[in-house]
Amino acid sequence: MVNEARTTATPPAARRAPRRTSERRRSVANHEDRWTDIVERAGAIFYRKGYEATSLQDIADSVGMLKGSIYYYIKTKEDLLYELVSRAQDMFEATLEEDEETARSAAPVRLRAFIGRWMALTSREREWGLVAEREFMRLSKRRLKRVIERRDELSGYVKDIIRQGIDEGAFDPSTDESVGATAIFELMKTSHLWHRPSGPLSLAELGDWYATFAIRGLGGPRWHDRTPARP
Amino acid sequence: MDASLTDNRDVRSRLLEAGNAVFSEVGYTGATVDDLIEHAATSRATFYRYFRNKDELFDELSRACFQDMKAIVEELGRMRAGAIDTDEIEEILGHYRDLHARHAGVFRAWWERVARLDPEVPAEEGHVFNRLVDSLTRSVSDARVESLVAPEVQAALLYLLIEASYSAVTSRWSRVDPDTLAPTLARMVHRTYLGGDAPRRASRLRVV
Repeated sequence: MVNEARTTATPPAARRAPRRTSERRRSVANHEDRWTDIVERAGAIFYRKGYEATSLQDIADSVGMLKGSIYYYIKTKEDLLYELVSRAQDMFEATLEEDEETARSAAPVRLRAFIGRWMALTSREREWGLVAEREFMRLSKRRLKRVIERRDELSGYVKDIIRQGIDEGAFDPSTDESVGATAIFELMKTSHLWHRPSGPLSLAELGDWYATFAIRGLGGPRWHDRTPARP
Repeated sequence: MDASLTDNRDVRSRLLEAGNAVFSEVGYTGATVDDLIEHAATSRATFYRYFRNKDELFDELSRACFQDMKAIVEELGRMRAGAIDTDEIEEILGHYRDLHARHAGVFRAWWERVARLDPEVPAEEGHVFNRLVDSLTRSVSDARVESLVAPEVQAALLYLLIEASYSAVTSRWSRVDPDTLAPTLARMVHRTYLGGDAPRRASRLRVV
């Protein structure tokens, strides 16, 4: 299952201690599986129908449980959205982790590596990302604030790379780094809307083109354009 | 003219305006007929006299949008390597921004429809989009950027990039000022697709 390792929250109900230890251990595991199942099904339905148009009944039907039982895990539909958005942000943040060598590299190298990591997200992860991007504004004020801070961190990472490239003399100094970062993220985000895994182009090859677009577009040196050999 | 006819036109165009406003605010999937009638200050009965449902209203907005897009398609077709500079690209992007603002609801809905992989994209949309991609493909082919990505895919991506960037910066949650988009985006597009040159390293010093 996607993201099991990065689960951000345990359902409150699962933390309640049942009477016996062995019973508790079994039921905690069951609860977590169930919870993961609920979140994943909700993500798929939100993606297809939109958050507003989805009812808890739809989600319950999809998981195969009674609607009343869902309230064991969450208080409101918004709790589910927040969980989904948080998980999407966890997985986006994971793409910011660089190995030591990359971290010490020149900006074009770091940028190409980041685009490669982002494009390696699975289609289901990107589906969640899209739900998060499309629906996060429906969260309550307090949660919204946190979500926006985390979004800013993500674009801040790419802005930093662009700034580094400008300082190193690799990128055009008249670049607005916020615009550059927006263009790069938007380009990457459009892929899963039309990309078919059965088509002639892999996501990695597409990512390679994005990196070329970004680096060349920012005025980066031609020798960083690693054009893949034709098969 | 018959007074009731004028009224009818009025209500109809009010509903269309409401559609654009509501779709751009809460999105296509999130919008309900109740939102639309509330925004247009009319009744459900009136709504259903003009439109069968929100899809039908959307289709009409969508046709108007694609009608307006034809002019932009002509302009984008002029983006040819060696024949256009960044100022001209900026100007075209400015026109695109106006188009986007005028039809914000349609564009937002369009992104959502694509996201839901709705196969019933009206033929007209397909037609305008094909012409757009055709003319951009010529520009991309001229630029001869070596890539495994076919020129027509690069062309489609160029359009998606422009559209997605404007969608992103005009959203309520964007931290980017829409006015700052055109200069940087124009230079990026110019260098990548139209054979524009990378700046010389000394360009920063020359400012001083």
